[in-house]
This record gives sequence, structure tokens and C-alpha cells, in this order.
Amino acid sequence: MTDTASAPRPATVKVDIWSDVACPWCFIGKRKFEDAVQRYGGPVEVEYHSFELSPDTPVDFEGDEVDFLATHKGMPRDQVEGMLANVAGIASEVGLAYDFDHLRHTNTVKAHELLHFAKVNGRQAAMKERLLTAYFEEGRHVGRIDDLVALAGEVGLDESSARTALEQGVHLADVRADQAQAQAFGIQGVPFFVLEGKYGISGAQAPEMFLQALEQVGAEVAR
Amino acid sequence: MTAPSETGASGPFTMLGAADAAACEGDACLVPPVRGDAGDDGDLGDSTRRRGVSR
Repeated sequence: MTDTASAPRPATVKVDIWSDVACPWCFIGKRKFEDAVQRYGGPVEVEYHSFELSPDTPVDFEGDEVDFLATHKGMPRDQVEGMLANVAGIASEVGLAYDFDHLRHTNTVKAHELLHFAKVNGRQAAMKERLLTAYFEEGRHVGRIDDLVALAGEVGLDESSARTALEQGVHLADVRADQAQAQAFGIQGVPFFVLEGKYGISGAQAPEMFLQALEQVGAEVAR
Repeated sequence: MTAPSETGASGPFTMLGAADAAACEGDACLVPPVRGDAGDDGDLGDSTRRRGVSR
């Protein structure tokens, strides 16, 4: 018998991830988690859940990210600019090109509705990636229905159906259910990863941390 | 890098990983004050190095 034949088949690990689109650490954490998944080698089933960090943000905020933080938080502009540069630098370490100069600050509830629409249609992972890239790297608007429909089409979703779902708020209840579940779980920050409904991981952890967690939980599932 | 470990419970979960990993809460996201203070992988191993808000 060869080593390959005797090696146990990796067990599927279910990972539920609460995150927001307008969340710099969620995209960075996503890349680090994906690094760990690749190294884990076994099957990992991911499902994204909605979490609105700033639900009172207007859909059309006039100004850039520095304007928003300076006015909304009352922070000195130079301090804001320095912090955004720090975040962009950390993002670049995982291959992300954050462009805060062109970021379109907006409300993300419709983006979350679209993620649920995408989940129903088997494209949630692609939609999540597309939304994060559009928001942080491309300066695309992710709060308006027209813009979201275009992004939906770019990942192969039916634009007409997506528009109807967004205009009618078909998945708003799903967004609210995710948020209620997060509250019930005591989740206060994102990204937040739940493995097999039992283990929680908060924040953009190092890939090695995610990997060890996947191996630990995967071994438990396999038993 | 901080070794992966159980970091206590949060709600119904047994928590794994570093307790001070970068995350966003409310409309605030903690960020490191100085570029390069974080480790090579960007992990923030010392919560005292974090300050401020961003989003």
C-alpha cells in the first residue's frame, strides 16, 4: 500500500464568514484565509454572511475616503491620510492594490442583497470577490442598483433578474437574518470566521493561523 | 507570529487565533500607526501598536 493510498482523505470544513464589502481588513483577511485554504489542500466550503459596519452611510456620499473619515470621525486629515497609507501598504503585502483616492464611499446594504442573490444562483464567491475588487481597487460604486447590476453581469449572473431582486428587496430579509445571527453570536467585528459552527476566528489573521485552525478542525471532522 | 491557540470563548464559539488580529468594529477599523510596525505577514502582534480608526 502506498502512502497516498493510506493517507486519510481530508474532510470538508465548513466555514461561515461574516464580513462587509466596505471593510479593508475583510479583503486582506480573505486573501490570508485563501492562502491557508490553498496550503490546507482539503475541501473547504465557504459561505459569506452579511455584516454592515456603517449602515447609516448614505448611498451617495460626496467626497473621498479622507473626507468621510475627517468629517464623520472628526480626525485630522493628515492622520487619516497616514492611516490609509498604512492599510494600503499592508494590503499590498497580500497582493491587493487599494486605491483610497478613488474609493466611492457608500452604503453596502444593496451589495449584501446582491451577495444573497448570487448565493441562490451559485455565484456568491465570485460576487464577493468582484464587489471587494470593485470597491477597493477600481473605484467602482457598489451602492447603486445600476452599478451592482453591471457587476452582477460581470460574474455571469442574469442582470435582469439581479435588477428585479435588488429593486424589490427580495433578499433584504436574508441580510437582516445574517445580521441578527451575528448579534446572537456576539459578533462585534469583521471579518469573523466560524468553522463547523463551533470555532470562531476574529480578524485578518496570519495565514499560518488559519491553516492550523483548518487542520485542527479538519482532523476533528474526519474522526 | 503568535502561535495559534484557543483564546477563550466568544458567544457560542471556542476562539482560535490571535486575539488582537486587525478587524473592523462598527464603522471603525483599527490600523497600525506606522507602516512597517506589523510583521511581514501584516499580523498585528501587539495591540498597543494599534490606534485610530479607518474604514
